[in-house]
Amino acid sequence: MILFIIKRLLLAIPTLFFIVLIVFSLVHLTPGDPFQGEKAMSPEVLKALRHQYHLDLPFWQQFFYYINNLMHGDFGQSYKFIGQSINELIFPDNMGGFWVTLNLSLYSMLIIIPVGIVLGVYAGLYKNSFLDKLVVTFNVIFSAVPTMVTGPLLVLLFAVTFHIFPASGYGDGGLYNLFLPVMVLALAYIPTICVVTRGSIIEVLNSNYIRTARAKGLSDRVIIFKHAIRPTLIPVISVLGPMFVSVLVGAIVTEQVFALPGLGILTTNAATNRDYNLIMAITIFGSFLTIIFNLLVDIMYFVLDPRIKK
Amino acid sequence: MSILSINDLVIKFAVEDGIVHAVNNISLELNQNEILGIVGESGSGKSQTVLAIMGLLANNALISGSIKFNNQELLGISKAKLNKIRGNEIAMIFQDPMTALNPYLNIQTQLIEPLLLHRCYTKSDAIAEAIRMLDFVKIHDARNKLKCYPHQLSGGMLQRVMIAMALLTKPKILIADEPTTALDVTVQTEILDLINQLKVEFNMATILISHDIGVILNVCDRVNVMYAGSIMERANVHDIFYKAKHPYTKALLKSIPNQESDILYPISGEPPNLLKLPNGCPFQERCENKFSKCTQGIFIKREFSNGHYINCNLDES
Repeated sequence: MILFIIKRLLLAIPTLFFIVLIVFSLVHLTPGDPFQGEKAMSPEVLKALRHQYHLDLPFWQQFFYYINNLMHGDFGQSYKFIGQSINELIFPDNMGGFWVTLNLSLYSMLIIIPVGIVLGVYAGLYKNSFLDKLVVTFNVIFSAVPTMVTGPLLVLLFAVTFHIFPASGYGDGGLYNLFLPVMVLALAYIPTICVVTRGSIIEVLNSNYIRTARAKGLSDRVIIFKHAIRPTLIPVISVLGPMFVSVLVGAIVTEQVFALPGLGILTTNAATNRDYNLIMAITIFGSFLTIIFNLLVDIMYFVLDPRIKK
Repeated sequence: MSILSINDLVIKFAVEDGIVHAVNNISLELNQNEILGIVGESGSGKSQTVLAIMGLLANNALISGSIKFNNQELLGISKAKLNKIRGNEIAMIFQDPMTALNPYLNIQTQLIEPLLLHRCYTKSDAIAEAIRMLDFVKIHDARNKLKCYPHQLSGGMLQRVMIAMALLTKPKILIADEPTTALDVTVQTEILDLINQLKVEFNMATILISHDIGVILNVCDRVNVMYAGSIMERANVHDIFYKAKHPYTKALLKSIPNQESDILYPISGEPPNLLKLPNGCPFQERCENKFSKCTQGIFIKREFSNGHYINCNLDES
């Protein structure tokens, strides 16, 4: 088990290297540079700036600088917010950046995972019942309606009409301030979990080993909690990993709608400002999270499925 | 003495295209201490009949008639009452042992479950009993096998585990639904020998289902030949083999491959569509002895001496 984890972590190193190489190349191949455009600058200033950020060096030298800094845990300087390091932007000392997104994600996942699984299990157990049809309809609607619609609608309902929750802002990061964005994310992601769980439990309950369990005279409760729950959860876990990552690297629309100063807003700003280092940092950080969560998913498989153990 | 009696059992399934007539009005008795065979091709309703006994039919099944175990009606009883009988007094083993055991739980957990549930054993007693039973079904090194997961054992071994699991509660009836179909021939013989041995040691009645009439003739005391949801012929093994009366049984016996001759005798044609069965005998399309009565919707049941029963218009007496 520990050997397996170490092996996977070692394999992650070349993977990350290639991701950095690809991201770096793509960003540097795009036409224009961060100091072109909006403000007119004298050629001398421009030259000095380009020199300061190593933009006048050949591509491979720039890459070498970047990799070297990265290995020291340094994402470099921001091109937009002069004098600020990317690390400060993404992981600030006060609340902001990744910490906001992390907080939002944790609250959301705490709701998405249990609600999604419980709804899915019930819908699957009582397939074709009224409850099942209700859940399936809910899933179809909310997997089709994007967050940019549910967000403003929830604001209209809970903030403008009923004045229960604030319309936007991060506040102290408590559930009161985050309730609406968490709801938006929950509505967006619960359907995925729910559909997978429902399909999974229906398949498991039709399997031969569940028939054997029934033939033994076990009660439904024992059949579900002892025989059916583990195989049901395996496909659910495989969608949970990527889902958690996609919320963690910034719920772009949701953060915009509710003006939460998280990674999502940093991402949009970085893209519009051509802030190379920030774009690369967020992408590489996202890849890193993906690798970590895939590893976590594999560890969960290890724990749940005896067939994977050697 | 009969321990299980099925009377006028009808099983239908409501599907999108209509009603599937899986089992049509069959009656049979299972006597103490006998192995009763049910033979028939796929879709003849043999599995559905025994699944009905166990209350394991699919949700869309419509069922009528009567299934009595020790004079207690099983159809329509509550799930709680049924759960006290299945796995306890009536146990069942299935066709594919590789998928019939839960791959996520080890053998011990699954094996001792019936004892903990029906016999209120303590865990350590149940384990001791499980080891004894694994020894009985000739699994070597039983104590270590308990810690294994199903994927670590072979198909034949898993079927032995299934049999051990079924026997732990000393059931009055064992239902074996194609227990050897998924296994290779040598393992098949071992499992059939084991089933034969159980009858003596456990004083238990067995229903053995197979599509292979050779398997049935080797092991069973009495045989039911099923076709498209009806029992076509029933007799003891000797009479089925030497004095078969029904054209379907005869065709079935003739189709057994034979080393002395190179010729195979298949039954021509295909089984009828269970969504729209013909009036009268379901075998009429393929029957060599078909005559006017058969196509007029007449389907006569006849009983001869020695419990020999046929469901056919042909007068063979």
